[in-house]
Amino acid sequence: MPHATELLLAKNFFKKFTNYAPRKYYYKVMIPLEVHDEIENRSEKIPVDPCLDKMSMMLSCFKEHDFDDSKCAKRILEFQNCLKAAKEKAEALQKELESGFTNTSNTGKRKNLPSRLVNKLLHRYPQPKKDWE
Amino acid sequence: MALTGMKNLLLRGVFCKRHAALMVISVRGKVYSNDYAPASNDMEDLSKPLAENDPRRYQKIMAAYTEHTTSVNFDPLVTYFTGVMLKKGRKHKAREVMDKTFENIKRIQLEKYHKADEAEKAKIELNPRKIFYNAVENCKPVLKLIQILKGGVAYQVPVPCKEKEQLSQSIKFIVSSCKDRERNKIPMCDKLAYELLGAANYEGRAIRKKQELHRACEANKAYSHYRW
Repeated sequence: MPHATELLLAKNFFKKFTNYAPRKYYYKVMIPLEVHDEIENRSEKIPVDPCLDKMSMMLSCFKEHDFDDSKCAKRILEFQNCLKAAKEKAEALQKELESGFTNTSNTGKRKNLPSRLVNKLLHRYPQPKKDWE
Repeated sequence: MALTGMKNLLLRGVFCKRHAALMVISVRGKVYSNDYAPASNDMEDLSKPLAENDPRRYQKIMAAYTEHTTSVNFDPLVTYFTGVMLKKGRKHKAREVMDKTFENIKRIQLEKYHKADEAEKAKIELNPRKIFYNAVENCKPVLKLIQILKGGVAYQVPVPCKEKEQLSQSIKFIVSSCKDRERNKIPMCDKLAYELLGAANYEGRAIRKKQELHRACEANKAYSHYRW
């Protein structure tokens, strides 16, 4: 039989029922809830066209003439001209991309803007700052 | 002499091994920074007075190479070829071999010229330097193979060869086809002369080596999508 004195003199009478009590929420700002004014800077490279069709045509010509490439001078020239043109085209596009807003003929077609341009825009219109204390 | 002297000192125990490692002079490696321009050996360009806005007035310039002379007979391709051919840094010997090969080519062609009929005489090329240029041009490969790892398997992927790589590869084909063990007793100048004459007419070992490379590229054509 439990004695009444034991129950009355106990310090924390309802200690074992704390999990039923309504929970308290504590709010602490670890990272302020706002967008940064810049994103990670990624270098973007426009891929060069590898001219695979011209290459396969040249190789088939080699196979026809038992790999005597003196007879396939025309095909070799075509392949090398294609490579040169592709390289020039990629370099021109790269220059246009890096130049900025001035020429938007290529940037208009893209899904995402390059990180350089995004950073420029974000710096121009920065986020309003708040006190989170 | 200096090296043998140092060896003796090492044996006596004056220097330790660590000292010896510090004394070794590095032969290769870039000495100059990027803001140095290479020295020119073009006599016409050097004899003119400098213009006022010429960058050479303030630009730092490297020391000239010893083999890049202002001579009339100087040829950049020939010097490059001798550099690839030389063994153990004996450039003087390599240059002698190169001169001898040109002499041999001239002798062979002259012999052909005097034996030939009058109609065929016009077709025979007598300038050995032109034959050398043709031979190097004919041995240039269009493609090369690179190894690419994909899914734990190394694939041989054919890719286009750059202009500089083409030149170095063609010279390596010619030189390596002459440096074989089978014909060890024949002098290098004779082998090179026949090799260059053959390569100028799309014949010989060097041309065959190039064709083997192309054949390997054709066999691995299906993997050309694996480049990136």
